[in-house]
Amino acid sequence: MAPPTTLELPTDVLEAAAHWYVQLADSEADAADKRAWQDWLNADARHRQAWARMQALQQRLGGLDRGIALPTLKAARADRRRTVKLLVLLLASGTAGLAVRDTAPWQRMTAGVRTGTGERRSLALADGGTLEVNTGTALDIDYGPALRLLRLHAGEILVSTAPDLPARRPFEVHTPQGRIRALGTRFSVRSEEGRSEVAVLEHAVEIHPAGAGGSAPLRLEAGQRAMFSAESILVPPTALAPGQAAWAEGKLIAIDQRLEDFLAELSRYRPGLLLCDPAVAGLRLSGAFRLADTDAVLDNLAASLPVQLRYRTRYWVRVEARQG
Amino acid sequence: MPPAHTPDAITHLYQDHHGWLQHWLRGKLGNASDAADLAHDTFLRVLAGRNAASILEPRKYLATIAKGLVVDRFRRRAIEDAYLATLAALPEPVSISLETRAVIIETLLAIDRMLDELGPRSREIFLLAQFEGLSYPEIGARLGVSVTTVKKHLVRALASCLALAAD
Repeated sequence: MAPPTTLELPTDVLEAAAHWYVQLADSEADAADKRAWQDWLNADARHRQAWARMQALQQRLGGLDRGIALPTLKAARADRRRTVKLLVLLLASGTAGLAVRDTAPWQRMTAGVRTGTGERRSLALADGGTLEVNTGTALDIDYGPALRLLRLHAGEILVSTAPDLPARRPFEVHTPQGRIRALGTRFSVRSEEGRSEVAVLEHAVEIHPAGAGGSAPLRLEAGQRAMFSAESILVPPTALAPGQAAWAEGKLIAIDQRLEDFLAELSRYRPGLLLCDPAVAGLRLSGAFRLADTDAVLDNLAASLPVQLRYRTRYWVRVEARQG
Repeated sequence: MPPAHTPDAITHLYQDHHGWLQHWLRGKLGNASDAADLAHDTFLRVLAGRNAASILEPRKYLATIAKGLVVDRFRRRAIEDAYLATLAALPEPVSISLETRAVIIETLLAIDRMLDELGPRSREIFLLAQFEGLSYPEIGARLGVSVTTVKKHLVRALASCLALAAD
């Protein structure tokens, strides 16, 4: 297949070989085309080498089963389209410190992350940090030259930031209710129904509610959580609830929790309606439950509390007082 | 050809930056054993490449090579998964030897790389001509373009294949 000596093939020779191949494969090709091709072939050793390469290529392509090659390529490319944007982001800003100096095209990269109900994702951030994305979450990752920014539109995330050397760009999470600035840290943010809740597991963060203007930020230390709206601090810094970030390990932890509150929490991870009969709303429970199987969690409740489950469909469940 | 590397330069490069690279990759991939593999592959590329002593910004250089390897690994995984899924979806089970399968995967990878170089129109025309066996007029009719345009895109696609293919 390969000629004994290989020559450098310039682009125009490769293009000519491609041109002749396309031309001769046309059903309209005639004797004059063939003669012209023969002349081209005879004119130069590099032409013959390019043609041999074309034949080898066609042989290789021809060896593929069409029924397998095409669906495989299409599926692989569709799969990559979905994820490649994020991958590019993750790779690109790894040398983010250099990016600032280079004004590289990836100086500003964004990627959207969405999770459905019951879905959780774990992502590596460009700077070496990690991001856990909880159920029903929409956020955009926007690492710019001056700021590492996560825009949380709705849902919940757990961030472990990494030092961004050498640029040391600040790290912020923005929610519709305000800004949270990381002070070298591990923390979770949840935003829903006009409220943001922040829980700090390590180090500290500063909270700037959107409507607070230039007033001093609220500083939250490790072991504390707080809730705020765009206008004000709704819950001042208090101790973390046990198992606050257990969802990142796929667990839901309840300690002496009201059933109604527990079910409201569980319903975030479960498609469809999960209703609580007011008659049992005040029952209390404790335990660690696996989020991967919410059916099993419900069965577990029915076995351990005086309640029963009424299924109208898989997507309509009511937890009621047990009959009889 | 100048001598590729002085042993000292490559040793220093490895000692000074291998740990950093592996850590960097682990941050990207979230997987220590993949990170170790790719860090190793990155240094293999450096050995095969230019003079290690002439590298001015070693970490930037290593990261650039490693990024290419990450993208490649990602591409390969997507192709392998899609290939297995396609085989699984066939109405009749087919038995393909490991060797044949490896050749097919490599060819699909080469095509996939080449497709990345093309615009969407050229890509579509190439796939229709090469894998659906449509004639130029049929492709033109399907996409609403002239036969001349079809040929022009095909020439571009095939030339791009040739440029990536080795003799």
